[in-house]
Amino acid sequence: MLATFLAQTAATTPIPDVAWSSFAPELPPTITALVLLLVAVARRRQLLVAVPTALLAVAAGVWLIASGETPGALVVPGAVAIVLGILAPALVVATRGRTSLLAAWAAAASLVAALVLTVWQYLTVLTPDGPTLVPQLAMADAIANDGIAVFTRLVVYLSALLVIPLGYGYLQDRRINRAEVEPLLLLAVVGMAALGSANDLITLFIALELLSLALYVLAGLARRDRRSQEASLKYFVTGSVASAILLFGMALIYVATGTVTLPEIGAAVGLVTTPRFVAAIGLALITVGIGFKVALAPFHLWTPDVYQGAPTNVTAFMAAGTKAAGFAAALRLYLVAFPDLEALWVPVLAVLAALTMLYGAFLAVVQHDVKRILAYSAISHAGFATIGLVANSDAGLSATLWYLLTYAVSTLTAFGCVIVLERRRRGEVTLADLRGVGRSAPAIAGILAFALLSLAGIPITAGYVGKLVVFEAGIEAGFTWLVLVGVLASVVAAFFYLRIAGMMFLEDSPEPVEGPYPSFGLSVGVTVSAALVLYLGIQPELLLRLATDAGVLAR
Amino acid sequence: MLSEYLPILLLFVIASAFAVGSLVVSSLVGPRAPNPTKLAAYESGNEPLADVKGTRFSVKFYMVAMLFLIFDIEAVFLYPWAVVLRELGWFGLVNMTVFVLVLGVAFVYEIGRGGLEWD
Amino acid sequence: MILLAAEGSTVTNEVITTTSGVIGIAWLIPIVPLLGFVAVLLLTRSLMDRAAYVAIGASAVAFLLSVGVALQVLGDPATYVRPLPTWIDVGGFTVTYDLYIDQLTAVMLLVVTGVALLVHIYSVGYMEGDPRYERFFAYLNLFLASMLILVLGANLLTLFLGWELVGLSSYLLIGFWFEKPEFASAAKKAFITNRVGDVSFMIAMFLAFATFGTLGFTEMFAQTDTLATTTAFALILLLFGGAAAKSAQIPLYVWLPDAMAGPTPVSALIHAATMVTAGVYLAVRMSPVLIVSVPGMVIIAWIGALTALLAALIAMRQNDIKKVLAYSTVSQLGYMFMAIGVGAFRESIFHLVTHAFFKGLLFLVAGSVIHAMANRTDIWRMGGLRTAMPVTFWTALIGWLAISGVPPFAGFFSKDQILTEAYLHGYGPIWIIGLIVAVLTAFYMSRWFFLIFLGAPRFGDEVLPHESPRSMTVPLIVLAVLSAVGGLLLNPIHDGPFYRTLGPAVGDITDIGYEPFGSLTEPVLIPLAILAAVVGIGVAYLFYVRRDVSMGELAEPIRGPVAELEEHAFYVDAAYESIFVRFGGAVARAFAWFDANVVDGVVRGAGAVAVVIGRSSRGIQTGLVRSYVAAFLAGALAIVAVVLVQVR
Repeated sequence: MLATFLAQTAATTPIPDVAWSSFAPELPPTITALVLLLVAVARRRQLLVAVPTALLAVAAGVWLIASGETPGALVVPGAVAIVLGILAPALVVATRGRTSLLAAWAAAASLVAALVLTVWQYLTVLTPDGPTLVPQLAMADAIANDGIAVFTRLVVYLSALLVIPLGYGYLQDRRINRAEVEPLLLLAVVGMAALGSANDLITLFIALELLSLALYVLAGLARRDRRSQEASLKYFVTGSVASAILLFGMALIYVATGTVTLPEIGAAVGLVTTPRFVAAIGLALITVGIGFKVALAPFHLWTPDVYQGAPTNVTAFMAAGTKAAGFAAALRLYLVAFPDLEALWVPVLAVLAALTMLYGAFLAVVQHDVKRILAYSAISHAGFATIGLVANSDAGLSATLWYLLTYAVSTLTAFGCVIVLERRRRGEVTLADLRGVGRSAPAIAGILAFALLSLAGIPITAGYVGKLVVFEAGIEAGFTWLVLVGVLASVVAAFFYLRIAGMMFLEDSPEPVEGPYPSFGLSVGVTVSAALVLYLGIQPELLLRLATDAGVLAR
Repeated sequence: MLSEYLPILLLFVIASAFAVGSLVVSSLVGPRAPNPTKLAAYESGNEPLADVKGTRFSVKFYMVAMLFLIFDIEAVFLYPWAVVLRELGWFGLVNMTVFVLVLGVAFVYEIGRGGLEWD
Repeated sequence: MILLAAEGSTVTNEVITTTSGVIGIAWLIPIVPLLGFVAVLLLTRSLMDRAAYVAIGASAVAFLLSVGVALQVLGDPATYVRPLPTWIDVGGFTVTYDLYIDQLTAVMLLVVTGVALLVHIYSVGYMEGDPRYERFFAYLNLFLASMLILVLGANLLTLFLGWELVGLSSYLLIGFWFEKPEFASAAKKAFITNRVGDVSFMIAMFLAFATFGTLGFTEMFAQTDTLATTTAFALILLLFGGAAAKSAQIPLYVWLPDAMAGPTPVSALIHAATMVTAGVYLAVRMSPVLIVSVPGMVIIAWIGALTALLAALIAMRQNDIKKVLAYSTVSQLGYMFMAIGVGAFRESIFHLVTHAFFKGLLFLVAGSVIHAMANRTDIWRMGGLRTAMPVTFWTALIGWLAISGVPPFAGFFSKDQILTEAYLHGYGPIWIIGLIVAVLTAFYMSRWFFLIFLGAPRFGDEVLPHESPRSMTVPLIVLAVLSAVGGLLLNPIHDGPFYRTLGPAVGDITDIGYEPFGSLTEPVLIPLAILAAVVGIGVAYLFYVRRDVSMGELAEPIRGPVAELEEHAFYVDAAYESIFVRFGGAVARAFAWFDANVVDGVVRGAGAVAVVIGRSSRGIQTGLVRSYVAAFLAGALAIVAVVLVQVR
């Protein structure tokens, strides 16, 4: 029966032309996540999973290299598949049954592969001739590969790659290094990347749910810690409400325009036949849903509790990755689907941005827990990133993208240092605990101070260039008042960042805490991310140009 | 503009009115002769052991229910696919294979983690 | 009148883009100290005490390069731009790391690297035995690099980069002895006050970019003809807001006296010669923009004059050897801004240079004295150090005469020329204030000098004053020589060589058309300035030398409520404390209260929506989540309402 079907089909229909390159970067992390789930339950039979995977991957790689219209055009993805394939059993042997170590290495490898494929995709597929990016649509217009997509991929994969070494030893210390951590992390990051390239409402929603569900679980990773449980539940409950509202908004948009594809919505919204009323409510509800995901006031209340309660490496990832992905989706939504309704959403978002910046900055001042301070800082930063969105221009678009990159590396560095300190203290870190750290651990204190300066937006750091570019776009778009609010908020913010730095360097601890030196992976993670903060601050040219080129949208 | 949606609204109103109306009417009009046997909860002919309201179920019930939902809904997806398999051709076949594989991984993981063991 | 005709030099610099000569490698000037910083920090363990020589070497190289740059610029006067790679380039907004080198830059380079080199050498002796000796030199090098970036930047943003970096490194240096809590809080105060100024600076940059479409100096100055007066006015005030914080002007001067908590060489370097003059440099650098709006300049002049007066009054009753110098610095910086405000840009820079000499000298003298007095700082418990510390005494004598404005020492020329210029440009009241400040300056500096060096010793037996080591006295002597002859050599007469050199680099004031205030001419004005100095010194002599001061502070002749006010610095700090700190705290608390009460109260309070949500989400039982969701839904409703109102 099946045989006849196959025979018939093969004769009549050609294999459809799926644009593999449009989601090639997502494939390694996805497959790795699935394989790692199997590895997690394989116990002693890990090789049984690894070897078939390896065979399949190598076969796929060889096929990729050999096939194609011009043989050799797909050398890079083919090579990536072969390398990953060979790595799989090698890692199993090398880690000798320590599942979490295996998972960490495999996840890191797949993320490197994702980054390689992103660059490959950018260089060969999206910019075939010259630096100008040619946006491409794929999968029946469900996926748009344009600047936003590429840049989001870079940011989220980079963040995830840094989070793995940051978190490995930390999870071990807290005895929550379960085998599911890395697969969930990978699924979340795939969701984020997909969010960056989602070109219709359905894809957008599914991507959002994929990342959210993974993060709900990750937030509650520490099962014996009530705070972590609380964080997970709160995040889940509020997140579900947000998802429902978002979905309702999407439904109304569909009702109004009769399509779910963003460019088509954009075309339909301006028509006279479209009921503006319904579209407006849909837009408002979508704004609420997105506002929740990126934590804009007043939809931000979950953030401090969740950020504080979740395991620190998860918090770092949430801050860096979710924000980037959420804003990528917001940018595409507003700039592609709702340019005709700008009179509606621009003022609303402007007010939300102002509120968010001030709220985050002022509330951070009265906090005592370092993670909570960083959570409020995350809220405040969401407000800054929104300025670029409000600017509603190409400059604003690239400014926001760039801002998210700088925020991601800065906040990862800061949380990385917090992880180091938590591991030294074997518990959470309050402001008072930071006294004397400048003396007992000068290197880590220095790096943390540097990251905080970046978050505060002081020159020679990435954060400074980020703020500058965003403010620039805001001024250009005529939102001087909003930029003034931003400057004010950044001054208030500088105060509490400074307070942390002051605690470390200018006060002495009553009893010195001598902890173990950070592990190798942790040092590497923190150092690399700090180096990125410095690099992006001093020589932002390369990536800034990329962000500018990313201003090309698939409309 | 909005008037296009008036029929939908009307339908909503009529449906709710009918539902509420029939309940109200039957409670008003219907004869009532309660006795203990009629009021007893029907649990396969056994007397209920305890008051149902406020009892705690084992979390395992929820687990099973959730797992059932997930796998069930995803399995339901197969039916419409089977109907249009011929039109979809290779594309459909490959996609569904991937889908089932992913589902399979989840299933294997589920079993491996002991999610289906009762105790 | 002859003077007026002569001063308006219409010569302007030609802009030359070049990579030849020393200017081609001018980028090494900030890089070398930066490398010194990194090297000392990385190699602390293996270098040990030799770290100082690495740092000194780095600053010496920077100094020599600066001399080379200065020779090239003075040999062939022009504005040189040394192209360097781009820093930021996004959507029409381009900022490069280019260097901008003209006569003004050359002067600043020489002052900064010269004083820094001397302070580095001085610190070898002063910081000896400190547990973090090496780190101190690392920070000094970092500061030097930052200051040089500030001076060399070819656009406002690069200048701002240096601006922030000097703030940061001075934060490290002020708080260097952080073991004492008041030092740490001084460092914080400095940083926060400067952030207030930075906001102003940042807004100024945005305005400049919006107006000119660029932040580069050459490009901006090319467009000043078309600049609207009102825009220029706003721009000037915003820039001055930034400058006022860095250069300690009203109302942001409060951090400087506290910053004296840092090691004394730091005070000499940062709080006398370099960082605090960054604001003056900024204002003079932007002088082509300044001259577009005379009202803006008048405001600067008045704030400068009032700062000079206020700080001089406070300095009269300070008893800490460094606090007197600190308020004196604030006062002298006020003088410089006064000069800028009355259109005397070159005079301002001239005073900046001589001030760097004599105030740097006086701070190093103070350090030497503190060193000898086993870290005592109360001038009432000193006295009679003349014999014990001859080198310090003689150098201090020169510094004292220089700052008091006694000819022919450096301070006389620069101060007198500012006063003359204020008069000739028609600012009579400001000229009078300047004269009063001159009297006060001579008075409090004489008090300082007399109480420390003359009379009988008042420090008891437990302290044995001694002359400082060679590494400390040599910088003293060098600066003393400069303070003695610097003014005479550089610019003995109005429109002397210094002004001729600097002329093309600053804004051209001929078009403003200043009129003299009265009919007095320079032959009358100069004796008036000398008279002011003599009066101040004479009164101090009567009070503190002729009278018996052996009973210490009780002998203070100035008494009464005014003196009380002066002693407490007019209670400005206390006022700021209560206004800003409490206000900021209140806002933060208000937000926290809002979080805790209003958001939660939405659930408890009336409102059908909230009640329904409260009921339906009761099952979650965590209490807070429902208020989150409630706030969330309230926000959603608000947005929907707003959108609907708009769409109607």
